[in-house]
Amino acid sequence: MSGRPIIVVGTGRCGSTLLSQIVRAHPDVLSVSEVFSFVTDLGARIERAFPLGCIDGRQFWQILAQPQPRQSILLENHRQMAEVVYPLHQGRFSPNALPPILQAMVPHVEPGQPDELFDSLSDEVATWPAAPVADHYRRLFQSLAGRFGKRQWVERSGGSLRVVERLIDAFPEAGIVHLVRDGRDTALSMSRHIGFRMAMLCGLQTEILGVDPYECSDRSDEADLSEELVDTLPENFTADAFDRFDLPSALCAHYWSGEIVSGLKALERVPSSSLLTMRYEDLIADPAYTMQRMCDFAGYGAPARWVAEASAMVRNEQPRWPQLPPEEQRDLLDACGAGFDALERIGIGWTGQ
Amino acid sequence: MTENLSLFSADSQRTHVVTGATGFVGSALILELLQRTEGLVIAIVRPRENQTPAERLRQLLDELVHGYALPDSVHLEVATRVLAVAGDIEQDQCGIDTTVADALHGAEFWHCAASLQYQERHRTQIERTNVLGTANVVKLAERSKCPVFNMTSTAYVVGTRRGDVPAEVPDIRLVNNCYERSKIMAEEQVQTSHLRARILRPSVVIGHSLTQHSISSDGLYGFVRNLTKFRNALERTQPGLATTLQVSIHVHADGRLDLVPVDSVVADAVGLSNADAEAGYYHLTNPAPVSLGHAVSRCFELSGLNAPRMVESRDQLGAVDMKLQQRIDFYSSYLINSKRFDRSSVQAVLGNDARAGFDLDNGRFDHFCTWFLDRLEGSRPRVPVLR
Repeated sequence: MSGRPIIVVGTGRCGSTLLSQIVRAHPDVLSVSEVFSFVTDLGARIERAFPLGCIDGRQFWQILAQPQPRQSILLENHRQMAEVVYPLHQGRFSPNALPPILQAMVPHVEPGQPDELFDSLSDEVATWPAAPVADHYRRLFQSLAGRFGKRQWVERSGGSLRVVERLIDAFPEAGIVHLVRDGRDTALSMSRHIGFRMAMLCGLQTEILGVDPYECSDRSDEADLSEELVDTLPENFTADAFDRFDLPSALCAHYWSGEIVSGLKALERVPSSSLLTMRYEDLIADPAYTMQRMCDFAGYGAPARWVAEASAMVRNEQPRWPQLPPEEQRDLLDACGAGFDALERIGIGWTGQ
Repeated sequence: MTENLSLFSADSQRTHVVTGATGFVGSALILELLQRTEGLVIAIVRPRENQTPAERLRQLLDELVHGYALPDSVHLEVATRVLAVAGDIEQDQCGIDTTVADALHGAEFWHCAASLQYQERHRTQIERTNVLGTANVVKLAERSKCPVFNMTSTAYVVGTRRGDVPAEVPDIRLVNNCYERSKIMAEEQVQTSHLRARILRPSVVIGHSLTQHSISSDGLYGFVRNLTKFRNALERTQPGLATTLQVSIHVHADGRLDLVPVDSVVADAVGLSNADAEAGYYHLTNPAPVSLGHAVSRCFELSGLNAPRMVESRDQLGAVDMKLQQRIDFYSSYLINSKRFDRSSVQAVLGNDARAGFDLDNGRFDHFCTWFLDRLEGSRPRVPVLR
């Protein structure tokens, strides 16, 4: 039994990368990683990644392969996310021209020869006839699964809760796994993560300038930017300026709440038989049980050897928020309040919330 | 409006030369001069691509005649008594040719051009415009045997000083930012010249007292605009956050905020000129400043935020509060160190003709904010989707 495809969604920094690594070891399932993070340029070019109407294979390849400005500027400045697993020192692509699917997806499934797989996909995708973009994504994942002798695929992109409505529409046949993690630890992790820091600062710049600074040179409202946002505009960007950008964890906690509330609302229209909500803390505490649960939901087998291998990948990890000073703990708890309340309504909670 | 000098004769009436003619105060000043004097107004206007200085100024002044609800007859005055000449105060002789410069002989100068930027990163440009530019205008005025030089400065040259503020030479050590510093240096350029100079110091200039119309996006409007953008950023972070979060802000809630309508500023300025006021410092401020706590609360609420918690020290601000504070630091000059500007020099000259205090209570303050916010909302660009 091949089961059904799975889309894993989450706020980002919720432990889903670990889930991708575990799925990657499964003998029958292809783990597709970070496609929607990188084709949307960290969430800033969502409409470009999900165009309306039909596009042909060449146009779809542009979405997959055209280097994205935010990712390029980070890599040029030696700020590489852990999720970017392309071998920059060996591969033929330079940091400022690395295609989105080569950042993570292609080397995740073919770590040995990512450039060759990329070229082969380029030839294949270019021949595809016009179709809705969802069909192209589906065909891409199926094609990859076929190439690697897998019967099904699991796509997982960090922060994909942001596009969950589009994913539900695009993949009605898929099961949705919603991975959640204590908002306080998620927020702490976001505030230090290169990709989230970049996404948050670009969001602030866009809101204040009234234009996306990576798409438009209009700086009429530049005076309204704080110094740290001016110093990180694309024309001024330096690694030091990026590192200086102060992203309070409380602001990330508000973002987490917003994503949880909006995401749960969007997930209301998914039939209960097609939705599985899992806690990251449960995956850590009992990986065998949690992965068995996911496989049962997806209709995959859970070979004992794989379960053992998956369990070995999991490190015992303690929550970090209790180590914060009481005042910061309180700020985080307050900022996570809306998200905690929404999750509590579906029976999910954490101690001390 | 014309660019032909020969159409005018400055024999019988004093000519007025205005810099910053397309700015907020400069443009209102021209309209006031047209209504209360009979001389010509020569405006030095920076050229722009695809529009002559005359076209640019005419278009603006005609808009303002309507926006300020002035009599239609002012349109005719604009057409016949205003001369726009291409120039740039950052250039030697303000970038005007010698023939034009010769025609300014004996004219009264009104130097309104200024950079209102304040960020350290723009310091060079700010000083080029405000200090070097003023020096160039002063030189041109001296060359023209200018009888009186009126310079528009700001009441906030006093920086962090609080309480009663006399109209006198400011202390440059107290400035909050390079804008205030540049205005002090500009005042010095004027005071050390051989000109008979009036230093006119408005407080925070807002729109017209009757119509609220404004072409400014600074001062009160800049504060409100930043609050609106902060609200949008909060909503981008977490939908609904702007109406659930109460941020803290460093402000002296029991202080007063001096906001003065643009028509009051130019009425007093031209009044001083017509009364042939002596050289000196003049606070063109509002004798009836509004409550700071009330004004700040209303700015927040009208911008779609909860009224803030007002704290006495920056140390009481949280991490999210600091994100707002970073963006409104410039406005700290207005929000803390509350000031009462001494208007006695204006009062002594104008007496009962001086503009009375403009009462901003009873909803009037809201009208100025909502006038601006309506236009801001109408011009808001479409930013990329979030989901």
